[in-house]
Amino acid sequence: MTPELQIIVVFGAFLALLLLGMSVPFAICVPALLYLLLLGGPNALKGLGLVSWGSMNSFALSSIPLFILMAELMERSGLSHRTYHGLARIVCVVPGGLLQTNIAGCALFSAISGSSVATAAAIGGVALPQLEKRGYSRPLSAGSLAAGGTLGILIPPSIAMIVYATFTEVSIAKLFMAGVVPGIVLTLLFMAYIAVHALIQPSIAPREQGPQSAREWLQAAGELTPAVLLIVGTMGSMYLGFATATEAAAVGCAFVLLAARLWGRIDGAVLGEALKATALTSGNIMFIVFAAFLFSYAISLGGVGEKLTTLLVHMKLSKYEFMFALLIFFTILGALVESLGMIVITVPLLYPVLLNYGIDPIWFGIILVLFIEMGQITPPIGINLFVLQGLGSKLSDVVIGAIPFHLLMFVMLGLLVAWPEIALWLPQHMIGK
Amino acid sequence: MAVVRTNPLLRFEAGCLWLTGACLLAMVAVILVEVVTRSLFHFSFEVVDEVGGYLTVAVSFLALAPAQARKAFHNVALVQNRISQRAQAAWLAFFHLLSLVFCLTVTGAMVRFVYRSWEQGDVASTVMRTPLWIPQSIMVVGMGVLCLVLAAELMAAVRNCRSMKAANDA
Repeated sequence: MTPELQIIVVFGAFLALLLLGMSVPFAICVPALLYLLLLGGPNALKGLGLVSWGSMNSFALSSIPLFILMAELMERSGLSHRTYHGLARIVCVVPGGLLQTNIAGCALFSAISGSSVATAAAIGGVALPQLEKRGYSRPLSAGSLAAGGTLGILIPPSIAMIVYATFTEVSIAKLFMAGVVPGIVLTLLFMAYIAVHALIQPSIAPREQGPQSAREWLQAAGELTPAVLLIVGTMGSMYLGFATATEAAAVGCAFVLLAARLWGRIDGAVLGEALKATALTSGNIMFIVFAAFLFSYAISLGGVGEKLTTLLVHMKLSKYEFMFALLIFFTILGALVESLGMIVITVPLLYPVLLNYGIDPIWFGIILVLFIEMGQITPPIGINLFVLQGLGSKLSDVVIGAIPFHLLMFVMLGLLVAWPEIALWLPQHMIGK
Repeated sequence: MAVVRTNPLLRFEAGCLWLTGACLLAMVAVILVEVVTRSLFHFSFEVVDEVGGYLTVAVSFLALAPAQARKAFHNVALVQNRISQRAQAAWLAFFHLLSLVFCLTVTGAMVRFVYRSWEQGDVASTVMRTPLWIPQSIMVVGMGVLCLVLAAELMAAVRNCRSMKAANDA
């Protein structure tokens, strides 16, 4: 079998297994194993033990389960619920009412959770019954939650960024900081769209009454205190260089335990449930990371990255033509492959090419995260669409409602290509490494 | 899957879940101690990177069997939702078989790797000088229990296929 045919068979097997319903990590691992066998027969499998140990014995990767634990503790101790209610009372005065709270709530929860699915599920679970009861537009309710949820991987902490950083060896803290400004800009774009839509077509969102007195304003602000302290503490410690991403996550977990004692509920049962949920989510994500390393090992053994670089060099694509080709490629891939899977199969291939084009890996990390965000609300397999469907929305409502937000993500992408400083300014000024 | 939960062999899976939780707590504790001693006393134990790495390996591999048994791995249900129950059962059995072959292959490679590490007396080049076969063995334990869970699920899926075929024939 020629090397080109081997690659086609392996990628074809990956896509086929994924679409037929095999668990994502196994759908990556099995073709990787097949590729190793095609490359060197049983002898190529000898390195699997060393690759497994060498890839997963990593202090940086420990930030993934710790950030998951932090978000689980927030959720199960009732602090997330409290934060949402405080935020809802403040933000609902903006045109669009609770639809604005969807976006602001997702943005705030994104700064605690590293996952889009967790963000969409956490905010959607609280918000959807309220939106339904008060007669908000169903497509816009579902679409804003699905799109707002995608902010989970752009606003730090972000599991997708940790995985990307592990493969490209860029600083996790710098990548996190690079996501802050684009995350805020995208949040504001989403909120501006909802406000304009609500002003033009008031029937989509009833007018809400915000706090009526200074006391009520203070009360609402007080409900946000634990989340704001957590976000400022974790992000601030990384920005100022006091802590690495992993240390910030561990300190964040300890802070949530303390905050839950003061403002929420925490006992052995809550802690046990949070640990159990963290273990299961970590099992899934860390297996995908492990699968990614096996896949990366197989394609590096086959020299696929180098071959792709040579091919692109021969095609004489300019940097912008290359970016445009990536846009088309990722838009298609995003509709077929789930988020971490996209990083896993593309980054080991594309990283040598990026270096060849002189593209900043931190900037590209943010672009890649945006591509993934788009994929998460693109039919047929955009995962956030199904999260909202699982919460009771009609799939057609979610898909239609998410379209304007999808277009706004293209606007954000254009802004990042035109002004890379939007992503790179903050990491250039941070004190930590 | 009920079959998995009642099989006494697979109580290991619950043990793995419990151990994963313990490792998570240990991870938080170890890093917190390091942050506190470094910030307040300008003193580092210089083991946090090493222990954190071992605990990451433990969490990653021990969580695999519980995640498989409790259906925590993501999958795309697009095609599965559109085919008959019998075809779904057949595909599930096929996927379990492929997954089991992969896990057995990797477990075999890990066993050889850990054995070589033990035989050669490999130790970490750190102050702790940890014999590496100890943390490396956790990978084998995690993958081994995952193989057991997958084998039980494969048998259950095959039985399910047969009973569906029998019902169809009748």
